[in-house]
Amino acid sequence: MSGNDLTPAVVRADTPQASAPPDGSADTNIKEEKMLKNLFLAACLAGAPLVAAAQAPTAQETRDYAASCAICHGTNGASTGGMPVLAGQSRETLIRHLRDFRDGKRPATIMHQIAKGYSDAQLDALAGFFATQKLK
Amino acid sequence: MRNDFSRRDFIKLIGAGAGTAALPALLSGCATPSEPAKPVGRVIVIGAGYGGATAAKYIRMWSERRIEVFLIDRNPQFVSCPLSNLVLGGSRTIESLTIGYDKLRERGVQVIRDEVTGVNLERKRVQLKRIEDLPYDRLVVAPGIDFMFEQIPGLNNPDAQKMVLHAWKAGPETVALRKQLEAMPDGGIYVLSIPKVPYRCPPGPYERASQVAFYFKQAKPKSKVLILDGNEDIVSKKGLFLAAWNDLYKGIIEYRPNQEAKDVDVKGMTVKTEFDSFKGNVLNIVPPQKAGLIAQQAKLITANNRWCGVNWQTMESVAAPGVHVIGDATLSGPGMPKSGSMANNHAKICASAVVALMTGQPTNPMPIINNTCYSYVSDKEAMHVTGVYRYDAAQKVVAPVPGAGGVSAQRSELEKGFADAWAANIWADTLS
Repeated sequence: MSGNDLTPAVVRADTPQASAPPDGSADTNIKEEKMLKNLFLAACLAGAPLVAAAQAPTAQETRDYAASCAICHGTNGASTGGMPVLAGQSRETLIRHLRDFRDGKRPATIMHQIAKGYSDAQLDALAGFFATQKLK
Repeated sequence: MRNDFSRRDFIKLIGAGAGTAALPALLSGCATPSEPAKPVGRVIVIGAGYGGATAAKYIRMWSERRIEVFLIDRNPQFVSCPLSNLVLGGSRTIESLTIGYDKLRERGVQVIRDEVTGVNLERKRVQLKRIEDLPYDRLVVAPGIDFMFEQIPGLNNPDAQKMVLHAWKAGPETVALRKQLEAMPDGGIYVLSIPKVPYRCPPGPYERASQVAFYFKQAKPKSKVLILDGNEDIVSKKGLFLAAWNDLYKGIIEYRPNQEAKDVDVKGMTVKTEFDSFKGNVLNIVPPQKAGLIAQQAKLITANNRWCGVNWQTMESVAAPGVHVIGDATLSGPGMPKSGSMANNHAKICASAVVALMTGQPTNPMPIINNTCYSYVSDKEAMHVTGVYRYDAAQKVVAPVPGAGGVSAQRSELEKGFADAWAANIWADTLS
């Protein structure tokens, strides 16, 4: 497990570039931009997508881990209602929310307890998976 | 000629609905001698509950319809155990927990209503009551639980079982128990007997006590709920249940630990424990449980004469190669509940492994799953328990990840909404 909060896995070359969250959330703020900048910086310093790939779960593992989230968030993150839709959300927003849940920075009834069960690389891979899912 | 592109197209053609009947013709038409004679295999799934139905769906989905899936159950529809205590409380109908298998059929799952009478492991065939034997390449057994009535002698006959219900499989018994409660006079006593762990749904009995108390409080406030727990303490969400009982149902619920049912006098309506007897107007005995009968017939039971041991990386039986066991019938790992959420998760570990093994890919070496169970303490409030479980190579089990998981800070209306949403989402994930 990675002990580094800024693991380069978050900016792997095979995932979409950072962009404004398409989820309509109004919480894109300076803090987030700063954080993204820091993430890029960390990645550049680490300078190694190869290292990231070594740490990150495989595609099969990522798909399987994401499948467990479906019990609340729907198959491939396409919630039928009452729970947040994960499919098609911005990867950066998902990463931020998952880490904030884990670190107790975002209020939650349950997600703070679940997010603690995953490494940085796993949370990032999950975010990447859900970001690429289409909402049917 | 081994060409990936044409091979994929070929597979697509089959997946698109050519069906197995057309398979030999297609093979002779386009397969070359170097191609395997059978590019797609068949999986039979026995049992269409939370585990089996999910396995059927995900094998179809993750194999991109390349694997043929038969899903066999004796029941025509899925009835959810989770939320069925709300039928006793009166805020849900059994119909609202009943879902058909049509959407799985749309995925190409061949849903068969039949009773499995046996499994021939050597010949890889499933024997059925109504139709001819079916061959499989891999078998998934998701039989749920059966009851060990013999441990409560007075309950070990069909007549007694009609009078004293368990209602621990959702369906007609759930509705019948509700009717018994409705028929009970005000001032009566409802006795709920809980077996020792492990049993299906650890928080379920305490939720049930809460729901019956919720009904009594409105409809017959002089009545009592007497919990006879075979365990030494409340097994799950203890603080949350005690708070709910104190705040909402004071004077209605009485809890007695270390009172395992040893026998029942059905005529005298009395539950006997080691040293005591308890008389009630409605008796609800949840007997000790073991893996469903078909697991026993297929010789998959490996632990304590009750549960099926599995390889937790693949859910493959430790007793029978090529056979996977999922859900409540498995020998649970440490801290792992027998729950609908868990069965759904077992199914995904299983589906991933089955697809990998049947397509020549490596299996996922480190499954990670999370379990979430909500309990409703009234028609308005609920609370959860959750945990994350990761494969531990040293213990060879899927074990709780230290530091993760927990229970609600308090019961709430907010979490009641999440509980309803959990149900809607897991039903869709399992059945559509």
